[in-house]
Amino acid sequence: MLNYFRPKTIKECLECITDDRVYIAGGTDLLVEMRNGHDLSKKTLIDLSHIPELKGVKKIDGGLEIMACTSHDDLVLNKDVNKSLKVLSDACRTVGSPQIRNMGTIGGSIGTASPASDPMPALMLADGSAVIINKKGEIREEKLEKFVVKPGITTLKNDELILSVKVKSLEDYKQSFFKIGRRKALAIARLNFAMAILKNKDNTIKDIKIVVGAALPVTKRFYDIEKQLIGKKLTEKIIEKISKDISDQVLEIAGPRKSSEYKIPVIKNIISRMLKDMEV
Amino acid sequence: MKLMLNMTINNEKISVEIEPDSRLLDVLRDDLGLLGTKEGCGVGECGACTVIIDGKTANSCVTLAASMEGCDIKTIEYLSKNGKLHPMQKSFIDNSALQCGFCTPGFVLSGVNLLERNPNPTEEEIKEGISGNICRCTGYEQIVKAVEDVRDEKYIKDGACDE
Repeated sequence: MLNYFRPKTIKECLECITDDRVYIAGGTDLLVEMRNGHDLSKKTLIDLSHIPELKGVKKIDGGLEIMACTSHDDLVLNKDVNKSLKVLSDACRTVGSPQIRNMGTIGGSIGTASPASDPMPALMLADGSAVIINKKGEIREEKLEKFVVKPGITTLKNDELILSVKVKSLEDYKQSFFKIGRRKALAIARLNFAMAILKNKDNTIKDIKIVVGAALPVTKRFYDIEKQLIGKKLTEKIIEKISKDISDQVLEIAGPRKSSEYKIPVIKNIISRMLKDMEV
Repeated sequence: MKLMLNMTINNEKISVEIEPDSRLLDVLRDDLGLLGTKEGCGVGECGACTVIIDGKTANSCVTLAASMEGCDIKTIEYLSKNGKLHPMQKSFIDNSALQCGFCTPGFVLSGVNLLERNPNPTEEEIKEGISGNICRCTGYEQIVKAVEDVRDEKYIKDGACDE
């Protein structure tokens, strides 16, 4: 028999946690899974949608803490997010449809670990980490790169709950998000990208962050390439080189697929275009 | 395990006994007889099942009914008052913004909710506002026009229609 709990506080929620727990927040993924035969009849369903503590965005030192049950639409509209991490509100604006953005949550987007998540590249760009609490009330923080193990799999244990995501403010950076889907609305990303760049007065790069999402099984920050660029200027030659290096790495990680013939040159061109656009 | 769900539907407080894994769509249609809300794709992509929850649109096919405790829900049945159509409904008819009509309740609610949240949307914003609804017969031009006409106050507000 399905057990259902609708806790009103995090404390109550932790008390409900059992080994067979399944969380529901917006439901936009879980109800599709249920329709596809995901059997909940012997599970404990914990409804996170009535816990006010899990909603909203807080300012923290150097950045923001986004509570797990904050909807994509709330992040599109949130003033602090638009100020500190515009790229995240841009990314959330491309999720599903207005209806899905109203219901779907950031915690759900991370927890389901879909390779096509649109917020994920923006969160990783801002050194995002998941804040996780366990049944005993112990809190741990984990970088999103570590938290997402592979498609659909995270390090979240059965006795744990995602509380929030912490991100750094990129207020001084130029930021950019780009997505390609099969159509504009209601499309799952085939490719998505996020970038941020901070320049010195002499136009050399002080800091740069580059993330490729949907083309890969797990969203990836290109730390090695970022490091090579510090102190350099974004000349045509350098842009050409890094866009090639990144698309080569994507091919190497994802392996050749039927779609590679299309995707790899497109990845190269988009990275090159995004860098050029940020140079202007 | 049955549970009692209390919510406000179309300004009426109701309590209904549900299964904890029921979809809002099924509770609306099967338990409450509100058949204006349609099931199209069943996976949150087509928007035929759109309702307004606490002032925002949602796909009732991917909404857990149990999560709706205490929520304010508006369905297409909410719009017409005393036999008079809502301006958005009237505008859809006048603009021939429907053929088979299956997607229409969802489109009308998306249009109404868009104007509630942004009374003066651009054409681009209207397209964005209805982007979660799919029509497979009319095409979108007439639907956008229908929303524009309501935006431009070609119809009297508050449910009464300008004949």
